[in-house]
Amino acid sequence: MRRRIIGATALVATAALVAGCAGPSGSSGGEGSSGEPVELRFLLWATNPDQLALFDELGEEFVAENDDVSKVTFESVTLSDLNTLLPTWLASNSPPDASWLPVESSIEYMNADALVDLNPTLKDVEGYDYDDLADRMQEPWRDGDAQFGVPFSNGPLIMYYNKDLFDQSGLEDPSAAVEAGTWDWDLLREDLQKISADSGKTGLIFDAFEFKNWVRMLPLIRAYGGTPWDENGEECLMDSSEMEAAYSALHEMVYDEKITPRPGQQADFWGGGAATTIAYLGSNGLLADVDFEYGVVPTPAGPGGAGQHVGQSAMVAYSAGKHTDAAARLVAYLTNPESMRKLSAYYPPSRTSLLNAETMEESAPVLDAAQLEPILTAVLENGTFTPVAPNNAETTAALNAALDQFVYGEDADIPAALQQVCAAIQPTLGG
Amino acid sequence: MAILAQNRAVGTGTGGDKTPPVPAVRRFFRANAFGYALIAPQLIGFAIFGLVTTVQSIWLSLNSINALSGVTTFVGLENYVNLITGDRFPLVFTNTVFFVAAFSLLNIAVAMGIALLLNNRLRGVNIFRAAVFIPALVTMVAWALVSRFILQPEGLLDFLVSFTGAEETPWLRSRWLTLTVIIFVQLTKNVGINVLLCLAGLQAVDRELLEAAETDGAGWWARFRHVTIPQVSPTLFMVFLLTVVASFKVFEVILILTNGGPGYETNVLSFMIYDEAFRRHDFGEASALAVILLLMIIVVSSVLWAIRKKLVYAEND
Amino acid sequence: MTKRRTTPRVRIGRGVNYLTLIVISCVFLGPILWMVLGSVKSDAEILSYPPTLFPSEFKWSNYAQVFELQPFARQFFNSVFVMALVCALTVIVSACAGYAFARVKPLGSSILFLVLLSATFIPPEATIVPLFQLVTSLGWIDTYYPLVIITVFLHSAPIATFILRQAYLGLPKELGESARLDGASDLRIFLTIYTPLVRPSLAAVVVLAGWHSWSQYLEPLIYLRDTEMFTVPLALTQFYDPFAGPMWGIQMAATTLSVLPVLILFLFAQRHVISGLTAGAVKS
Repeated sequence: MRRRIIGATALVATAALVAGCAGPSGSSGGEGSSGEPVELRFLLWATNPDQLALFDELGEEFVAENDDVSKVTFESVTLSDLNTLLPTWLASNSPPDASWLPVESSIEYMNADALVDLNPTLKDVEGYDYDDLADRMQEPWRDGDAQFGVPFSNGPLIMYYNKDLFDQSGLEDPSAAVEAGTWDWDLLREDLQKISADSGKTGLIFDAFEFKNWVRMLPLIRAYGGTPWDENGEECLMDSSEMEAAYSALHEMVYDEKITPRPGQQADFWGGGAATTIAYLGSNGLLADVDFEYGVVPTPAGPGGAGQHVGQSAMVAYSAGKHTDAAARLVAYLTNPESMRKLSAYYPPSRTSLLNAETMEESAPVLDAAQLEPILTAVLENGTFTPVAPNNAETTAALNAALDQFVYGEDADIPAALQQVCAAIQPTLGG
Repeated sequence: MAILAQNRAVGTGTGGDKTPPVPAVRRFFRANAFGYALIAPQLIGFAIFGLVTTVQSIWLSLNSINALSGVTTFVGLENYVNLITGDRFPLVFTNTVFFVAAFSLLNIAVAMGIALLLNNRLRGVNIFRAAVFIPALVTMVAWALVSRFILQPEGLLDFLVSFTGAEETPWLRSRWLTLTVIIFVQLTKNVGINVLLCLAGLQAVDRELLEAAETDGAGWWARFRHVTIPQVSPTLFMVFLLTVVASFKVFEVILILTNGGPGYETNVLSFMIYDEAFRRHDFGEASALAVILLLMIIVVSSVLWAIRKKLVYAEND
Repeated sequence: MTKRRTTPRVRIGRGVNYLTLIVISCVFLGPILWMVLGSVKSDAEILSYPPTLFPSEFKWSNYAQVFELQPFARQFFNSVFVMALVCALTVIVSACAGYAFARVKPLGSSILFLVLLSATFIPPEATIVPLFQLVTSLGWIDTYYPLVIITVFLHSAPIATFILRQAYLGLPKELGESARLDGASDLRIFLTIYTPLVRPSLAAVVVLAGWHSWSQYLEPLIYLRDTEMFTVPLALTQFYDPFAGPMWGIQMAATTLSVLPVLILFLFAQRHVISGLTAGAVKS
């Protein structure tokens, strides 16, 4: 009897294993033979009801124009949940049909053949105006002729400042310094120390950095001319002298000058608790509710020049999805000139025809063109995207952990610590 | 009794005497059908969702898996070798052992202590019972979020401690202290359940026996040690075993309070599984960790189960 | 514990008892109070130092925002619904199995029991990928089947079976034997003789199962997609703006809202929960 039970269990287990393992190699692509209209799932990380409503509207328009699609569902999760869910879903061979994807993940997903080549669809759709897509912004998503994603949002990390606090300490308005060409990290740090001493408030908040999201440190890193790895993502450059200078500056700001929060400390700029914050352009809507005078400027320059960091997200379709053709057409629809113009109310676009201060003003209702002009100039002249590693997930996890362990502590010896960081992430890089 | 007797009869019967096979089988089913029918739902459910998926996890642990492309390559024990020879595992393993041991012992002591206090007939004792139990109603995610506000630099705790003139303490940035803090947060959230279970056990203690002991001049400690403890020991053992098993699975509180950091200094196995699978997309190594964790839990629980007769008074099994 | 004059010693003891309980209650209720007060503060005030106890300005809009950003009432109901199903199914499955392991003991039951006990050892993170594949192939994504059925069979029922086995073991064998002499069937002995006597343990099982289901996070995250279907713990982490970061005040308002109904229910039912846990536990 016992043997029979064990035998039966083993049989069930084997059957399930076979079924489970057969999964990923099974059906992928194709519209299926039947003419039944299909439903598409699109995953994104917007929470703003207006933005979601716009997507729903565009989805309905798409359904009206495409007989083979009966419904498009936009599912919203947080970005960190998205990073958790996508691999699980892909590993279980049940991804959404399309989604937003941050540029950091581009190479990793492309190398894994997880994304659909959109090029044929984009070129095929009437009125798409493929050549209007700004080449420089498409670069991370292109491989030869193939195009695996269409960037729809190119948000620069900019500096928001509390003008009242600058005034109270009798300091020059940062935008004046930008005009005078003296706007750099040294000046900012001097100003912030004075403001902290005068008001007791935090000087600078790197938004969403929290000592675990190294990407948010890029404005500082770029200003010092640093880069975490070489262009091919093969060799760790975290221990370069530029990085040493950048992280030493951070260390001084945190522990010596005490102008930016310590690890674990939370602070809030929008409620008036800090003099400046570095956040995405998309955060500007929050200015509508603040009760202080504010301004925006490009992030400060440094010894490495004026580094303007730009974050990017694209829309992609998944090759393991069941309706790859319809999904590709959906992405094409959402990024056509008309849709992207509508989306540019929230997301800085990637079409040459839309890249001007007027469109950006539309996407930043709280700010005027005069405030945005210097930022746009900075983006166009010095803009650099997030560095992409071939095994992004693993490299990012290792980098964040190593920085936390070796570099962010109060008694860290920065040069030695950065060498330890390189030792930790080098094995995850492509070389 | 009748069933038990039949059982034994069948038990010896199948041992191989002259009984013809068919009646024996029929008799066997008649004797056991009811029992199997009762167990069946639980066992079948567990087989499908527990055993099969565990076997699959073991299989996954022997593979190198590219989650994004779905490509799976058999690599044997490579995942295990990589893990154990890596520099993260020893740290995380030690943390896990410390966390489980300290959390479980502290939890049972605190639960029993509070249950004893609450077992007195005091006016308004219900309010205190509610107070201890309320955190258990909050989800762990919420409890950890609130705790983070209290524990962060320049948080409420720093503020309170500053009155004693003490320096600011990096509650969430130093290994052993932070692990202890995490234990405390997890414990205050969950101990209410254990208090209730202990309380139920205490209220079942024979009052006549206690009063008899008091009449005989036994002091508080003697009564506690020789009357109360033996009678609640089955409850205590059960609560302890459940707590040990649960403490291996601690997750949300670490995610929210420290993210396992600085580096890996407050990381434990269950969190490292999450880290490997969902942050690094390495399902192979994550599965290997899961198997290691499973083995640890099985070993610890088996040891406890094996010595339960020494710990538990009146286990009449 | 009959009426007895309170001696000074008893009175001091009682005072110490109260004092200890008050201190302990502060530790347990402090964070809750902090959360409730935080739910009507602005984000800036929540983060201010030195911290303020009472909000300088009550920001009730946090509560309105909870319902604007998420279908929170529906999500709350979802959690309650799932929890109720988990409790009911757990009780049925584990009472049957617990009784069988304790009293019926069919051949091989001790081995089967150990196999089952091992279910409590499997950490949920360990089997999430195979489980997800299974759930997908069953077409259970975005339904409550996995949250009820998998939770019961993998997590709550094995523990409950363990608890109930102990409970049934604690009852005298003679009860069933005498009923059998009166001609009662196996099923009747199980349902009407033994089961009413393990009520306290059943109450404990319900509390444990409900509590486990109530605070589940990873599983709903993986299995549910539609915000209308979300459960409370999942909803609580969604108060996050990609551009503004965590919405602390709103999050605390949502947490407060998620706790209050359960708290009120508990305060009303507390007597029943505690007495349920203890009633009849006194051995005859």
